[in-house]
Amino acid sequence: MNKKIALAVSALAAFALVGTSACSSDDKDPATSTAATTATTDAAPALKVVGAPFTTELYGVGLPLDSSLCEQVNTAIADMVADGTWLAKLNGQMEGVLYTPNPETNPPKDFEVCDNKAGTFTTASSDTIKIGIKFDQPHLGFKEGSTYTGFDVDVATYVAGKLGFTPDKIEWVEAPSKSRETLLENHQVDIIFATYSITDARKEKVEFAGPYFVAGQDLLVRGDDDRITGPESLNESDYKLCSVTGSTPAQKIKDTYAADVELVEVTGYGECITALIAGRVDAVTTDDIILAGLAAAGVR
Amino acid sequence: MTPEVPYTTVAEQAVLIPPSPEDTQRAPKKPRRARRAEHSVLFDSPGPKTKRVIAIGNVVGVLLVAWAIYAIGAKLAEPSLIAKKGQLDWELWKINFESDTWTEFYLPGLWNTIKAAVVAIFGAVVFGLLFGVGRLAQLKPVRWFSDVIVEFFRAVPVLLMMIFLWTFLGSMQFPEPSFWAVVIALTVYNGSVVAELVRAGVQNLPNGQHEAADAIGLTRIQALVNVLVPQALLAMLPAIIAQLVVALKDSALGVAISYFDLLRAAQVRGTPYNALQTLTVAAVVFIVINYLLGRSGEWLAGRMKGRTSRLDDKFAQEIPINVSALSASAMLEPVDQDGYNEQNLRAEPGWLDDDMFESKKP
Amino acid sequence: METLTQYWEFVTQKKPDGTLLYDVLGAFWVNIQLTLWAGAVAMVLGTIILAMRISPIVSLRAVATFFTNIFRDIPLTVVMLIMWLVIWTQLGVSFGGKMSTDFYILAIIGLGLYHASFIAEALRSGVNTVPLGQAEAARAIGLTFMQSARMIVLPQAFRGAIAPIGNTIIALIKNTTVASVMGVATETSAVMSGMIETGANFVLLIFLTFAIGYVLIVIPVGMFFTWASRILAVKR
Repeated sequence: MNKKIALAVSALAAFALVGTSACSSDDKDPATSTAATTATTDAAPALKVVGAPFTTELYGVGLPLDSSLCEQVNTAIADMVADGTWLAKLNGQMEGVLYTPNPETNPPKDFEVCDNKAGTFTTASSDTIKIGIKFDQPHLGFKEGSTYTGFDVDVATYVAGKLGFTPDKIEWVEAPSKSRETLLENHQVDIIFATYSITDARKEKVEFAGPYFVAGQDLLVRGDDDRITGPESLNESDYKLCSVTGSTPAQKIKDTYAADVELVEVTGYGECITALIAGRVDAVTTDDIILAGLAAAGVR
Repeated sequence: MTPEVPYTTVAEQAVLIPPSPEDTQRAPKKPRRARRAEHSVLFDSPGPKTKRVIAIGNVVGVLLVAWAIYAIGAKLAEPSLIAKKGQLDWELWKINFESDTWTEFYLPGLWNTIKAAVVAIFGAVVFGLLFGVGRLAQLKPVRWFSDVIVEFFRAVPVLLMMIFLWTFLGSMQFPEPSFWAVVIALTVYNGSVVAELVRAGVQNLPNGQHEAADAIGLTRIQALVNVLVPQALLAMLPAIIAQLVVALKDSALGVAISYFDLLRAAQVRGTPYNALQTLTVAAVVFIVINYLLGRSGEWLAGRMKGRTSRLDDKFAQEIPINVSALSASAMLEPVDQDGYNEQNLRAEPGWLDDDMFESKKP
Repeated sequence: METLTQYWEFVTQKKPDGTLLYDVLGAFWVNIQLTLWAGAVAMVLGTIILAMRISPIVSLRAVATFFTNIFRDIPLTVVMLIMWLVIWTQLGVSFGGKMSTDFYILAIIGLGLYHASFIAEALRSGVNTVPLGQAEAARAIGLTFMQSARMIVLPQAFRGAIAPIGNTIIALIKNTTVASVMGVATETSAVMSGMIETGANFVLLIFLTFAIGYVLIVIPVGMFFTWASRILAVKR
């Protein structure tokens, strides 16, 4: 009798295994097979940003309300644009990516009016400056080992230089989206360059200098994918769109342009990109410069 | 709510079955396999025929597993559409062997995970003592209030608390909102579990303890603070370590509110092309740490059995062994986020354990 | 009072097509469905794991122990991320056209796998409530392993394990919120995040709405399992 049991139990286990692997070797979904038939040439860029941005986000420099640095920061950004560093740094970061920032608004010319002229606060410590950046946006604000790279970092370094802080006097701090106001209000950072959109609600809590870049929501697609040219084309087929929770609302695309698009929100950009290059989603959406940075990133 | 458990608890069972000598003193062990195969209540030792069938079954099983691993591996190794690299490509994995990845990401992330879990467990013990004693208080409003607090925080998902606290603390200008959101959410949740442990522990102390306290003229609060709770606490220590494992695991929920814990560190390091490779390392680190912690809790539970001998036998068996059976009479069981108390299941002596097989040997 | 009225308006906002913008009740329903499905998966798998653990075959016992140890020590968030990154993205597992269907089913599988080891452990504690004499008697009257397991041990084990199984189910109810990590966007934590994003003024009220919802679900379930464990426990 024991033999039967042994057999039954092994069969059960075997069934479970077959079940799992049967699932794994499933048929390709339509998107994958379409993309797979498209010829891939080595010249085609891996990922590309398509169409013009369909919203406008002014990336400002966040400062505490009692800061005295606002005017100086505006001047520094104007200088950076004027001496060509701004463009050089942007091109340097986004090298090899099919992407042009909106030329009508970039580089920005009209700067925020600094409301608080009587501010007295400069930096918490007199010889170093704490700068808040994002850590997870390649070529924008990115922690790469013990160093920090990206366009936000470049602008921040330039501005800090104008404020009298050499690069070795800069302390980089992660400034996740929800924490930015708090970090400034508590003087845990002195200044923030972290894809920080200027909005009226935020202006009540923090002072904005800049903008140093005008971004807008856009789409990132595979380099060999010519079907998607803008948000409207997402409506034409059962496209799949990926976005990161808490970033620019992806819901906007669904509400405004493409009601039929399937949307998924996950916790990190890496998850979206992995799904994009694996052909499981067709587009990733957030602000154009973040997308360009992701496209510019190579395998490390 | 009577503390009486209406059916035979595991612990009582354990009393019926004499504990094996191995529980108290470490006898040299035979290889596990040998013991398992030789002594069993449910089945005879397999004969030559069955052994052959089992051997064939094992070979088939191993082949099936090998095939499944191969199939999954082959699928993972398929080059992606555009990056032209499979997920098993060395180029993608070597990031895990760079020193920066460890010194700047995994280790600081792990430190943050541990920091949040440890702070939360200390908070949970304080919270648990406060409300556990509160639930035993004579004053009705105090008892009622403690009941409501404990039941509320045990019913609300930790993730919802974290998301709420993150936004709420942020808007209150609280420093480091993501750290404190993780810590507070874990504190109140684990605290409510500890409160239940305290209450159950005290209720299960032998009557003589509080009678003696009464006799020497202690007030109820004095009796609780000086006599009853310390005894319960000592016996709870292994359960608290088990709760620490729970807190470590739940702190990974912090990734949803960008707390720079181990998981988020791996996520940031993996952006954008190495997400899978760094996630693998995070998963392995979590498993290893929780396994070691679980084992040390088990070891401690073994040690505690000797230390708590002055307590009633039943209690000494129950607290470190089966917390949930103990409080079956409570409206809700002390549940951790994973659905069971690790301690209860890891250290339980029963006839499924090797030791019991051993002790039943003629 | 005025705040409450405003909050009510906020919660009952409608989309242009007349449906609710924030479907709070629907979100809870999604979590309940996830619980039911994942609970069923976990019960079946958990029973299989238990059977493997008490089986005569060493290799099956080893596999069951390995499975239990892994899923006991890995955070559920990691399980869900693996479901997304490995199973859905890389292995391309799909259950039909819609992404949301895939995520829903994968979330159920992930939750089921994760809780199966806890169900198995709960059942194991149930097996331990069965007196050794019962198994010995079963063997003495000549029942085989399968017969004694099926007719003597497991029925009593299930009844003795109701309380810890109840714990696992309650944990499962709450853990279904982690499905949002896996892309399930219609369940409570995702809907709550969305509401907090736009209605930051009402953050406390939004949280209380969802928290009370969970209290209303979890406490009756807990009472049910306590009741069931009393009624069904084998009196000894």
